[in-house]
Amino acid sequence: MSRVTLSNLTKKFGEVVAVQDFDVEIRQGEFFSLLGPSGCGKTTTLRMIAGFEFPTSGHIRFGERDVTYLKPNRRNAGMVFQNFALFPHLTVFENVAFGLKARRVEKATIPDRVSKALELVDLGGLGSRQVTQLSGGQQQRVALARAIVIEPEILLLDEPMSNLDAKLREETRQEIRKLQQRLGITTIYVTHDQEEALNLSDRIAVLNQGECQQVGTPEDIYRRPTNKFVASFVGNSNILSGRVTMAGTEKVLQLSETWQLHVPPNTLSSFSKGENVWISLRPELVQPVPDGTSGVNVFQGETQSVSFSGAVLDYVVAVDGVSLRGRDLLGQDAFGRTAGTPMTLQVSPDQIHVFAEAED
Amino acid sequence: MSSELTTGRQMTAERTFWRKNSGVFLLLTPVLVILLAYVLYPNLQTLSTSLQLDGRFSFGHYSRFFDLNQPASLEALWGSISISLLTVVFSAFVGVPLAWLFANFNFPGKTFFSAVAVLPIVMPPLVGVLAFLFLFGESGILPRAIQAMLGLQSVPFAISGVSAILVVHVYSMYVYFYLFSLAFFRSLDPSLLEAANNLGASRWFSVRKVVLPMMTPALGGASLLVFMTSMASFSAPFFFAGSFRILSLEIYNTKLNGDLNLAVAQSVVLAGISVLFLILLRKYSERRRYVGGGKGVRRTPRPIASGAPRLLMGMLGVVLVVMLVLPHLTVILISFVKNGTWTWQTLPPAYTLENYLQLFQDPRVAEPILNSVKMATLATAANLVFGVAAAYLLIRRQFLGKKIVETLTMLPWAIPGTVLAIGLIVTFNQPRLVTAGQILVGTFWILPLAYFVRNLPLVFRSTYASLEQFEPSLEEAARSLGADWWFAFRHVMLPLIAPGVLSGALLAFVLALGEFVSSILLYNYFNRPVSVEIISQLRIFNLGSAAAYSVFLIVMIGIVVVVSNRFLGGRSRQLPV
Repeated sequence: MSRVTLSNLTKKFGEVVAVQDFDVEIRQGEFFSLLGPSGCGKTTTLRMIAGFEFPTSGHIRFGERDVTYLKPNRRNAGMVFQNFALFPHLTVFENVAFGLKARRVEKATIPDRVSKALELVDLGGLGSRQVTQLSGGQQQRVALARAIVIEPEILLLDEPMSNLDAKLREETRQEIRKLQQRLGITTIYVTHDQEEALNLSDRIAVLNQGECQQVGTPEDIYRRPTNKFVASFVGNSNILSGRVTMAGTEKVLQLSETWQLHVPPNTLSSFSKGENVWISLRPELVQPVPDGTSGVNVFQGETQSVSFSGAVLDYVVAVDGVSLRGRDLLGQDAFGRTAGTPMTLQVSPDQIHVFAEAED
Repeated sequence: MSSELTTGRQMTAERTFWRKNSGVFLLLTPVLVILLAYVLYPNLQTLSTSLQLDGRFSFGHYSRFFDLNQPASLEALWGSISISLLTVVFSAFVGVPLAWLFANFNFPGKTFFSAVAVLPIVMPPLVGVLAFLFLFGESGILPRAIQAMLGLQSVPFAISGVSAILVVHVYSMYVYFYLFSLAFFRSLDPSLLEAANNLGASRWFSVRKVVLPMMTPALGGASLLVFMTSMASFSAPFFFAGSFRILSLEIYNTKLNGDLNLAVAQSVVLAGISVLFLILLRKYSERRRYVGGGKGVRRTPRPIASGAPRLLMGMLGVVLVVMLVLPHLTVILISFVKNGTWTWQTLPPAYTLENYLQLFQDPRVAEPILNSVKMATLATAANLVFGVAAAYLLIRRQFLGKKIVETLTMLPWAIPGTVLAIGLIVTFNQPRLVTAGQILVGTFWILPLAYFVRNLPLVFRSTYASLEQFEPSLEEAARSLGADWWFAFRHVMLPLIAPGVLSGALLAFVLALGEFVSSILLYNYFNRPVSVEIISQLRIFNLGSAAAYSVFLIVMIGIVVVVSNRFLGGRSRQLPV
């Protein structure tokens, strides 16, 4: 168990920059996710930590040990691959025992350690099976057992759920988390699924085009995105363009000729009057209210579409020509409304995020 | 561990480069040396010899090739091309319908028939020729049987000359069309035909406008492959050509007549055509195949249930099996014939075990077999080492000159055996640096070398195919679990690629055992291989002995086929396309 430090980590493939100056310290025992769209550099980063790629510049440390150019077999980092990479010619037992044999662990202790690892992932008694006979979920557990049996300093997980169906994913997610907490092992998890990352992680690094956008707790990332990319990639957001104007002495956001949005003063303290900005607005902050309601940020709009998705009701409403996605968590007020009918809605001001336009 | 703590970034980068690449250089150097010395060098030597007259640059040998007053070479070129074109046409007519039947219908005994259908491909060409000679030749069993039955004055038919060559070619090469078409029919998405029908197309219309256009890559690939194989064919012309001239045989004859320079020029022309066709073939197989991974309905062969067609198919099957198995059976039958007893009779009159017993009793009889086994073993061992190394390098490592290594490794596949042997003769009939100053021609070593070069593409290709299927993350998984490269190689990669590699190597071994064309040009009395001994026995009319040697080859091939299918999965791609 140790902390992992990436300092100025950069990887170029020819002219293409896969990872640019990535700086982060992953704490001991932490469940840390690398989140981003495909091609963002998250897998390259993980492969550098595992030792399958060497960085172009920068350093990787496990604890105090510099492992930047260390061969993968000297790193003591267990890894679960996206396709599990189970050895098809070996049984479940032999797969799990592989790392112990490769490390020339004393032979007599191997069976015991393997069965303990298999029990840990609820596969006790399946040791003699061929891995090709197992279901996807079972294969994933074997891969996990194989990675933890060597008692690695860190555990690397490369989108380990992407080969499982939706329901199994949910279950497996919880099991991985429980196992990680029980072992207290520093874990780095690569995923493009923001829900997975929010759900599992102690902290998340959001990556885009090789650059780290934000590092923070799931709540930080969701509620306090530091830029437009994070706001739009994590969760749903309305990204609107607007301008900072004055309503009396108060700074407000001007979204159209007539549409002004009031926000807490500190949200706009760093912006000056007349500045063009991006505004990020979560759909769940756009709530329908009964007609005739009055108050701050209450607007009249025209319903454009309503779609029912079980627990919630998603709709699109146009306010003064600007389309806005809303999500009605109670599923009442917008229900029954059809495209073309008017709707009264209220925007909660607390979690509106504003970013300078120059940023993008 | 202090060595892992680095100071200068520059130094680390350099060290990383060497650490990452030392393995590549270690493997690449011997592979490259072998390829340059024994594959490229002889071919270059052939080319340069063909362009030299009295030590000076000249097209003299080529003007003799194209001399209209001595048209032997041109005749041979034309003969080769025309026979090859005919071979392509006839092979297609046999192979494509057969594949269509097997892909679309179920009938009793289908599994057996489809196994038999590929038999000819594993028959050594020389043995096949021998079988056809015994069966359909002037004094063959079938013509004489019909003559006797009908009381005719002379045999009613017999294959000889061009017709004989064609029959043997089609027998052994229709398999390419069969296999290519079968793969096509099996992967053809039936929903395409359903769509055509749905749009109002008649069955014939959709065959013409949908199936045939989609099939062109498969047909084109098979045509090129058959054409190349036929151009390089030596055994059938050797026996049957008579006065008809064929380029691969003409090279041999020219060389025997002592005109090595003209033989070299002829070789360059033949090799040029072959390489041209290889390039075409590569282009063709790189072209987008139309067969996609559609999800539609799975194609299920229709059972033939009704009486008449079922009977017809059954009869067709029986005829097919007889046609395909008869040559093998004939050779086995003749192997029991007492030498010198079969003259004018329809079937041999006297049988004996002597031909086999002599193998154990007379050292001179066993010698060719021992020679062949020894030389084939040496060649195959070398094939394994260099074929595997080259395939590993090409798939798993990045380095400059990848294309060169691949081209050189596959080159012997395009070069006809005759040309290859001529190349070895003009290169190693004098002391060379790459042979440590030894003259190889006339020694034992020239034949293992020839076998090695000829079969290198095969072992390379089967290893390449296995490695292609090998998931790289498996090796990475092993490394991350603490295995060093060598441990991961032995415990993960080797066990997984071994079946493909071994079945390739076994095939290379039996091909080397029966190798004829380069053997007849390069052997000497002391390393004479089985194939050459078969010819010698035929010349002195020891038909039984010749057949017994042939049976040895058939049995060896049978063993290899069974072992490959049973124990090694048999699914590795052997055809180096």
